[in-house]
Amino acid sequence: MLLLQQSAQAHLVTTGLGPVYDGIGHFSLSPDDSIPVVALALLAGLRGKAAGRGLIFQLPVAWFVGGVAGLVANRAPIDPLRCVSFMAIGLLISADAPLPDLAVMAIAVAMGFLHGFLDGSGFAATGLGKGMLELLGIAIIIFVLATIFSALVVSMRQYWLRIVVRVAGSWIAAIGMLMLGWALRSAH
Amino acid sequence: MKTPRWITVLWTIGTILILAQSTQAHIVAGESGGFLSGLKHPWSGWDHICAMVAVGLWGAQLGMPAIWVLPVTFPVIMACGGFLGLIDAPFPGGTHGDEIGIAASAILLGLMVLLKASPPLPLAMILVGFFGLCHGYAHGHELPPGQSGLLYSIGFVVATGTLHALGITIGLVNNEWKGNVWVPLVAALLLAFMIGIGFSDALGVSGLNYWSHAAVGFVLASVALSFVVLKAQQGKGLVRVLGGAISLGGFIFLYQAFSEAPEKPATAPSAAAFISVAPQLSFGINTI
Repeated sequence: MLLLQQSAQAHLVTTGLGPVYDGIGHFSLSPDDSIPVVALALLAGLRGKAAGRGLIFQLPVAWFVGGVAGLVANRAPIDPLRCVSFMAIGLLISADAPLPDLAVMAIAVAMGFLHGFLDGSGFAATGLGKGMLELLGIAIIIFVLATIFSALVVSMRQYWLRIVVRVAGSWIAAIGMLMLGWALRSAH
Repeated sequence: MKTPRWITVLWTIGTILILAQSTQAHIVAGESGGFLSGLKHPWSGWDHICAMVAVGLWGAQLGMPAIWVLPVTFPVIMACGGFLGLIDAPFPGGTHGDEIGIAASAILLGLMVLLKASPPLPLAMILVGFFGLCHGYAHGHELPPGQSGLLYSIGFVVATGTLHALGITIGLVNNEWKGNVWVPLVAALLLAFMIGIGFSDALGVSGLNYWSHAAVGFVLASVALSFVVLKAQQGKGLVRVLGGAISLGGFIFLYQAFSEAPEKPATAPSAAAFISVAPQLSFGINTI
């Protein structure tokens, strides 16, 4: 999966299968989108079924709404926010923080809106109608990914499997920290 | 808590798969170069390799929860160091401060393994975290321009985790597989393969400098010493011997840091794999 991933691309991947699949393709090839979704699913999975159920509906919706807002506004927010989101979720996973379900939902909605906004801003050039279909494709793939990964973590009963998830969280946090350094270095 | 044997099997297979190197007939360009560059960077110096493997070894020695807490602490704090290096923050000790810290990490972490030291977990975390900061700063300072930051970071963190996994694997294999011939036999095949790559490397594909020759020679000597010790102890204490070798190797890095050598030891991932499989090979020969 890592080798297949491409860097963030403001322009869309053209699959030839229509805008919905273009959105799915864009998301699948953008680790800066897919990693936070997987991370949120891990976080929700660690917190249990209720958090997982909430995530799989609220995250795609927040992402879509954020995307539409981005399409309309056509202005990307400061990129380091993306790095900070990596760090925050990664640290929460690695600490296995005992967050209430409501907090997990709030984080998911905020993250979904932020990343959706970034995507929507990138799609603005394609037009509102096509862009919304592309965002719909992204929301669908987010629903699928979030469901699979949160269910996977919820089903983990052994102690060491939860540790594996926490280690993954620490890696995500480390990636976010390095990304932030890169962003600041590039800004200079 | 005794680790189930099948976990050890999966862990070992996973580590070997991750260790597999791609062929390098051409230079990888474009965005994927970011990931591959990041993946290779922690392998670019024996000093990094030794210290990170030592963290895994020490964690395996200490058992739960250190076996996962230490390898989690290291990359997170290392990323903080990488962040400081990326933004060109000043580092104590001048331009060679981080190099001296890295050499000290190999010496001290190797010593911890050799002595089988069992300090309180927070203390071990502080020690590992401090050295992680030194390693991260050096990495951050050396990052190549023009690569994809995200992909580079992913590769970088994965490679670091893999090096820890190497150390943990050696520890687990040491604990779980005594007397089993299959693992050492597979390890021997892998070793032969890696030595082949190592020779081609030395013959000029990427070139080995003086320090790498010294390091490889030192590792070979350490393995020979391991044979003697293993014969004497019937397979006990191998990890500690490896820790001692890493610690002594740290003095080479320390000398290098103080001598202000212009080059760091060149990349020799095959030799790093040699370190990882040599103990298993020793066990195999010892067992057979």
